[in-house]
Parts: sequence; structure tokens; C-alpha cells
Amino acid sequence: MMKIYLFMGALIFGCGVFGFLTRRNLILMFLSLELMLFGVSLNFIAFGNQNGNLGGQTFAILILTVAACEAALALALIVTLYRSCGSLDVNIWQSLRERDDSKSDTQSASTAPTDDSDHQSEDSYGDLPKLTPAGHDPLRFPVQVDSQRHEPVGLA
Amino acid sequence: MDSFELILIVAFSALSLIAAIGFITFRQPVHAALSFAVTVLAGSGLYLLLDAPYAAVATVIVYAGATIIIFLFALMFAQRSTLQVYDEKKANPILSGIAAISLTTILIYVLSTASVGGKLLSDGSSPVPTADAVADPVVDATSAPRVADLGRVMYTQYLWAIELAGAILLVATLGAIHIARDDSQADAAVENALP
Repeated sequence: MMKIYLFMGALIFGCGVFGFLTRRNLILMFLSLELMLFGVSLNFIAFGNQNGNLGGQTFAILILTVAACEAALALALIVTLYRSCGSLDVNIWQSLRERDDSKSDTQSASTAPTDDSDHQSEDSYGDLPKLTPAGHDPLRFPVQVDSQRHEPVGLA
Repeated sequence: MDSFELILIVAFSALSLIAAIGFITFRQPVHAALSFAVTVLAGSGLYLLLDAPYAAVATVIVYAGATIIIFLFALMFAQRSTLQVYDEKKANPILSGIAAISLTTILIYVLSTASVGGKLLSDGSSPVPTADAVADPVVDATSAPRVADLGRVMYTQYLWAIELAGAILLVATLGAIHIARDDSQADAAVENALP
């Protein structure tokens, strides 16, 4: 009987992993995370029941609080992403990363992930904050600041 | 172990597993969220069969109640009526399937063969404490565990863990408020203040 519980925990965890890797909707990715946590806590309770003590249940309740925290933070992130971009596609977060300045650098070009054909280009979400590119000496190459928008220009 | 309990275990496991598979295959996000709720509810039945009534009730309230409500709210807030392209097309389904199946296989293999102190982890046949099991010092081991015993263990033996969980909840609340706050008004105030 113990095997059924343990294997159920593992299978639910596997479903969560698959969902997290394949989904591109931010909400469903967080739900996949919750599914993984649920599988883990099922195993904890099974082990605690087998050993005849209550540590497993206590740890499952700890995992429950972590899941609740995650849901709250996920809601905040979903609201932020939807407000700035009007979409829930997680690939939009890719536009937060640094722009690849060295286009001629073959190494960085080969390691850069290839975008899907249906993926909207990053420039259509131009409203996200941009970081100053790393690797420049600001004294030799001063960053020009747009006086209207108070952000660096020439980076896009 | 009577046959009725076995039937319940198999029924809850099958329902949970079917709903979990539905969760990863449904295209409509609302259907996926509802099948997640079914997974959790059936898993709570497994909790009940494992003599964990408090964890079962808390799981139903937190997962199937609060979490699902939050995510359904987010779906209604942000989801368009038609399916978006990021719902239709999965990212790397073959590679992800290979990764998830191999990870699950490794997990099942480890869970079925690993042993602690010469005793298989998956060999438990009854909730009776074995000789090498660690009994809780504050709980009367002769009677079946009750919810009151769980509370006693949580607030004596695992007091610091519970306090840590409370601190994590507080920090997560503050962080969520900070992330979700609309900064446009504050930005406008800064813009006006600058010459």
C-alpha cells in the first residue's frame, strides 16, 4: 500500500514538471509549481504515516504555507506582467535581459536561444525598463540620457 | 487493510492521476485550473486515508480554495475569450516530455528500491510504529494520532519551523504588495518634481 502513495507523489510531481516545462501561460506555470509541491507533500505524509510520527504532517503544512506565499507572489507578478504588456506569455520576460551588443560574436550568437516564429518581437513590448549594458566603461563611452523620459537612449 | 480501504485508495489515486494528466493536456486555461482542483481534492482523500485529517482539510482550504480562487481571478482578469498563441502551442513538448518522464522514472526507481537502516522505504504496511521509527516525545504513542497531537508537536517540537513559516508568509505578503503596486502615479510625481 505504501508504494501506491509514494508512486502517486512521484507521478503528480512528474506531471507538474511536464506542465512547468511546456506551458507558456504564466498562470498555468505557477499552477504546475503548486502541483509539484503537492506531490512532494503527499510523499511527506506517507513517510510520516509509515514511521508513526507527526513530522511528515508538520512538514506538509510548512509546504502548504510556502504554496500560499507562492500564490500571492504569483498573483502580483501576473498583474504586473499583464499591466505592462497586456499578455500572459512568459517569453515577454525575455525582453528584460540585456541586449546582445556583440552581434558579430559567434559564441554569443550560438548560445542565444532561437526565438519561435510566432513569438512577437521584443520591440513590440518596449515599455519595460532597460538596464545599461554591462561591459562598457562609462567614462569612455558615456551613456546619453533622454531628458524627457530619464532613461538611457541609444540602447534599443 | 480491508478491501474497502484498498478500493478507496485506488479510486482516489486514479482520479488524482487522471485529473493531473488532464491538467497538462487541456488547452483552455480554465479547464486546466479546474482539473488541478480535482487533483488536489482527490489527493486530500489520500491524506485522509493516511490518518492526516488536519493536513487534508488545510489542503482543501488552501489549495483547492484560496489558490484556485486566486488563479481563477487572475484568469478572469487577464484571459481573453479566444485562445492565445501561447496557450495553443506548447514549448518544446518532446524534450520536456523526455525530461519529465525520465525524472519520474528515476524518482519511482529510487522510491521503490531505497532503504534506510536495511528497511525498504516503500515497505510500510501499517501505521504502527516500527522499531527503528522515531517516535514523537510529546505524543502518547499507544493511541492513534489525533489532531491535538499534531498541534502539540507543531508548537513544541517544531516551534521554530512554524515561526519561520509565519515569517515567510509575512515577507511574501509585503513583497506581493510591493510588486503589484502601481508605480505610475509615483513616477508622475517624480517627473513633475524634476526641472
